[in-house]
Order: sequence, then structure tokens, then C-alpha cells
Amino acid sequence: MLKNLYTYRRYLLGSFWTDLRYRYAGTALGFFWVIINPIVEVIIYAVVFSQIVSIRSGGGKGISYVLFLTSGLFPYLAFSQMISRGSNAIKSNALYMRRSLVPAEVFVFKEGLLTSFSFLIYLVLLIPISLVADNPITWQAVLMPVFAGLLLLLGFGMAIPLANFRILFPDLGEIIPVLLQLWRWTLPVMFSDKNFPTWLRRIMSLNPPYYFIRAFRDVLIEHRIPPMEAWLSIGFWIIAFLLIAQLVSRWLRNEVKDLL
Amino acid sequence: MIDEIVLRVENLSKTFKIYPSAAGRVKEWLTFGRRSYHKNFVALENVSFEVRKGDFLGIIGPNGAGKSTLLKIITGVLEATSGTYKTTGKVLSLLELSGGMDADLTGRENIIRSAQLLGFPEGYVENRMEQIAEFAELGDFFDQPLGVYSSGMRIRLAFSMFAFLECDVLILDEVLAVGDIFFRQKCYARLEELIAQHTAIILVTHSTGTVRQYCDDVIVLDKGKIYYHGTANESIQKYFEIKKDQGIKISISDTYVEEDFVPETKRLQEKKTATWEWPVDSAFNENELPTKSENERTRLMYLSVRDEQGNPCRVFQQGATACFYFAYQAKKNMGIPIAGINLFTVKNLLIHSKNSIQLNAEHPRNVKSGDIIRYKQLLKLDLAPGSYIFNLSLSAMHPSDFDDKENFSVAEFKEKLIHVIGIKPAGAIEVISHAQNQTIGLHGGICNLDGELYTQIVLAQ
Repeated sequence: MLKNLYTYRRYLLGSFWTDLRYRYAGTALGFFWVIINPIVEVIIYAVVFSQIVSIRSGGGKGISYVLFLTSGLFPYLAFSQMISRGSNAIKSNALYMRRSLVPAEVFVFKEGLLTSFSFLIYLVLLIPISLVADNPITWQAVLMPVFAGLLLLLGFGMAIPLANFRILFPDLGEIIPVLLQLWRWTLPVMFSDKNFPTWLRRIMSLNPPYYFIRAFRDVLIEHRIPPMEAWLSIGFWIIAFLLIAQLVSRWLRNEVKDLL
Repeated sequence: MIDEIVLRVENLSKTFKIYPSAAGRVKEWLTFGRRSYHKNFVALENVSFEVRKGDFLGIIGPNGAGKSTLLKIITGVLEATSGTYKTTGKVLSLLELSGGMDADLTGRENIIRSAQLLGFPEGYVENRMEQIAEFAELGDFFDQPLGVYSSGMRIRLAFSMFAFLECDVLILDEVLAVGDIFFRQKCYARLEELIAQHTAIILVTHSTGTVRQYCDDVIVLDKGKIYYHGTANESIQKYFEIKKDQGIKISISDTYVEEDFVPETKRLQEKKTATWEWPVDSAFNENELPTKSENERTRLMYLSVRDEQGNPCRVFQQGATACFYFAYQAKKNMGIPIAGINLFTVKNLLIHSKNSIQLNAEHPRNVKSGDIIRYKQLLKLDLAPGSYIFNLSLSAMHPSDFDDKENFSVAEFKEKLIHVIGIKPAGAIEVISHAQNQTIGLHGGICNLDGELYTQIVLAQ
């Protein structure tokens, strides 16, 4: 898989740049579209959770809740973008797949590159939010791009099997967005699980993206390096899903190509 | 000699699994394949052939014969179910290429992008860009987004690129059938250059003319199998057989003289006495009938084009005689029917038209509704090789006018002629070059006009 990505590196970079150029340069507001959706979501959640419902979200009130929320929501949005776009990559590039030897993971990876661009903008946005919330940015924050890369790698590993299944089962195209919506609520994105009972937190931590999301808050808000168990979990899930991706794409490669 | 082979295909088969719905696949997976929910569709069956350096192989066959599947396997896009293929070198395919380009990118950028997708090293197309641009003759369009291109321009771009990428086997499809004639000529000139450089070319096409002109070796695919593999002329004959027969084959033994022909001749004028043979009705194949062959006045009941021996045939050598058997059933009383055949080139140029009056044929009188009028018209095809289209027409005339026809002016005659039916087109025939004269040809131009040439020489003093 890595070899394939290396072989087509020039195509990956070339089409990444042209996609960026045409996706944003052609629109009136340009890069603004990348952030408008997350900002609207942040405003809605901030109002609902910290003002109207006022439940114990565990993330504080007002601007400190906004910081808490964005440090979890932005990574999750990037992750879900990776999954939804990546799982559609074979279908949307069927034209190329049908006539060239380019393996499917190259197209999924390209979606990853595009997502990493949005992710980068999100991370930059966290800086002013942090400053307004009186949260000092310490050296641990340099780990955020690392976690971003790891989270996208996890998404990449998940998206490849999904992209293959998506061709065999067109229904997945409708199911995946719904699942991504639901999945968000099983993770401590909008709320903190600090005050949850230990057994519940245990179960929640089995969720693959759990420690990834937590890691962003660890370094940004709590100014600490994530604990050992977080690193282990992160490493385990990435390796597991990349292996699954490799197996599934080898298993289904011919069947998928026959159907295109 | 063995190293000359650049592509060897052996017993290649491809079966597609067709699931009635996605749920079928789930069920099959849940039973771990113990129960089958799919149907197999055999797209290719035991296909074997070899391509050597500098070969120009043609692949022809009806739609759905498996041509694309075969080429996709050779290029590695699809995997064969069984069988092997070996290539010693790079295989490039222009299949569906013009559809796979990005409308946002300029021609130049698209070429770079495609070269990346095809795995060419950095700088490879960049070095050839000027050649490509010059060949494509797109002018300023070359640096404009593909969205503003016409479809012909896209094909120019695609072909130009492929013509300058080095490879050992180049696969081309129908793309060459479009585009203007000058560019097409240029394309073929370039292909000859490539062949001279030992590139093998595989051409998939419906155009028998192209195949005849360029391919040394032709494969006819039908229903996933190699129906015939041989020289261009033989293969084209076989290809027309598939198209014409579609399952029902008429052998010579089916054709014989119908004994009770007599009643029909009763109403014939006694002008010519020679009798002729009408094949039994069951010897006619309905597939030969054109789709629109009926109006409120008459119906074309039978049509068959045969060779001089009486075998159904749509491919004739230059100079051979084609026999058109056709019969109309009158739905109205029509006096004296006048039948004719018009022969056109593919470009709709009328080459020849002659009706029963011009041919001085016998004309039945007082044709009544329900009567069947049978014709056999012979045409000596002294024509250039190529495809030709024929129309059938039937007119009628009042018997008293008919008897008086010599006294009419052209305008009057036309006025008296009643149109009954015009069947356009009624069918196509193919003329292939005369086997002995392939290099020089029997003649140039469309028609072989009878003529002689006398020579003298006046020696210098």
C-alpha cells in the first residue's frame, strides 16, 4: 500500500494542488467555505449547551466551553470528513479507476490530503479561540499536528474498506453519514466524560477515536502529554485499521473493479 | 523469433458475477459462499492470440462481444477469471480516454495529469510537450480548460498525447472514427511511424474500412469467443456473417426452384420468355428485412441479397454480381408497379439507380390488393471497396399511361408516376477489394467505368 502511494506521489501532489485551486479559487468566498460550516456548528452547540440546556457538559461555561468544544469538535469534523469523503473516493473516481491501473488507496489518500488542509485551518483557528479564552498555549501544543496526522491515518484506514464496500453495497452511501452523526455522541466531543462513572469511561475508551480526541484537549487545555494508555490505544487502532484496509482491498479488489 | 512477441494471451476467460441486488451478495457472504445468489455472465471464453513487434492487430465484433473486457484485461485494469497473458513491455490504452479527462484543467495540465496516472517518470511528457501540442493543432486552446473544448478537440488532445508516449503495445478504440478527415489521416500516418518503430498496435473498431486498410491480422470476437482469426478480408466476411445471420444460417440446400411459379406469370406481359427462380419463402431470413418496410399501400414481404450461386451474401468482391431478391405485397390495386434500387455511398452520394422501366423488365398489369410481386435484380458491383447502402422504391402507373409512356415529356412522365413506397435504407452491402489486385487496385474512385487505353510512343530523333 505504501509502495503504491509512493509510486503515484506525483499524481497525488499534482491533483491535490489542482483540486485545492479549483475547489476554492473558483468560489467567491474561497477558503472561507472551509470554516463556515464548523463555525456554524460551534455557535449552535455553544448556545444550546452552555446557555439553553445548561446541562453539566463538564466543559465550563461561555467562552471556555467554546474552547473545550472546538478542541474536540474540530478534530472530529475533520475525522468525519475523512471518512465520508474517503469512503466515496472509489465511486467518485470511477472514471479513472475504470481505465488506469491506479489503485484505490491513492484516491482515498488524496481525500486525506484535502482533509488535512481543512484540518490545518481548524488548528490555526484554535489559536485565537485559545487566546480569547485566556488559555495559554504551551509547548505541548506542537503535538497537535501530530495527532491530526494520526487521526487522519486512522480515518484513512477506516475509509479504504468502506470505499470498497460502498461499491458493492450502494446503500452505504446513505448509511455512512447517519452513522457519523450518531458516532459523535458516543465520543466526548460535546461534553466531558470526567464526571462519568469509571466503568462507563472504560467502555467509551474502547471507541477507536476516543484517545485521539482526548489527546487534543490534553495538550491544548490541560497542558500535558497524553498518558501511556492513550499512545498504546492510538498505535493499536492505527495498525489494526491499516491492516484491515490492506486485507479488504486485496480481497475485494477484483470484485470492485468488475462492478465499476 | 520468440523475443519478438510482445503480447501473448492464452486461454483468457472472464466471468462476471451478476447479483440481482446488493442483498444477494450479503446473503451469499453470510452463508460463506455455500449458497450462490448470483448468475455468471461469461464475457470472454478461451481467447488466445499473440502480438508481435510492429503488428497492427484489428479486433472487430458486434457490441457486447467482449472487446472492451479483453482490452481491460490486457491493460491490467481487470483481472481474468482464468488464463494468462504475458507482455514484455509497456501497454498503453486509449480506451475511454477522452472521457477521463478533467474539464477544469487545461489541455497541457491534463496531459501532465494523465502521464502521472499512467506512471511515466517526471519530465517525460514535459519533454515531449511541444511535439504533442504541435500534433494536436489546438492552437491557443491547448492552454485553456478542457471545459471549452469540443468533443473532437478532446479526442485530438488524447490521441496526440498517446501518439508520443513510448510503449510496446498501443491499444486504440473507436476514437479514430470521429474527428475530421485530415486529422484522421495524420493519425494514421503517425501510427505507421510507430509501427516502423516496432510498436504493436491493437485497434478495436466497427469500421471495417479501417481494418481492411491497416490491419494485417484481424480477430473477430463474438459472444466472448474468437469467431475468426485471419486476414482482414476474410475476417470482414466472417464479421458480416455474424451481423447478418444472428443465429439463423441459410445454407445452399434451402434454396431451390419453386415448382408452382406459374400463376404469377399469367398477368405478366409476354415480353421476355426467360423464366427465373424464386427461392422458397422459408429461405428468406426476416433479419434481412429493414425495420420500416410497410405503409398503407404496400408491404415489403421478402428481401434477400445473394451471390450468383444463390447464397445469402452481403460481402462481394469488386466486380461480382449481387442478386437482390425482393417481393412486395400490394395492399391497394396499383395498376402497373415499377420497382427500382438506388445505391448510395456511406456519405449519401447516389451512385446508381435503375428501375424496372430502365431495365426494360416485364411489368405485371392490373395488380390487385393482396397480390405479391416478386423481383430479382442483378447489379454488377464494379465499385471501389467500401460500404454501400441501398434503397428500394416502388411506384405505380396506370396501364394506359404506361403504354403511352414513350410519348411523354420528362415532366409529364413524372406526373403520371404514383409513389407507392420508398424504403430508405433497405440495407447495406460491402464491397471488398479484388484479391489479386490489392496493391494497385482495379481502379481509383468509386466506379469502374468501362474503357480502354491505347499507347504510342514517338521516339526522340
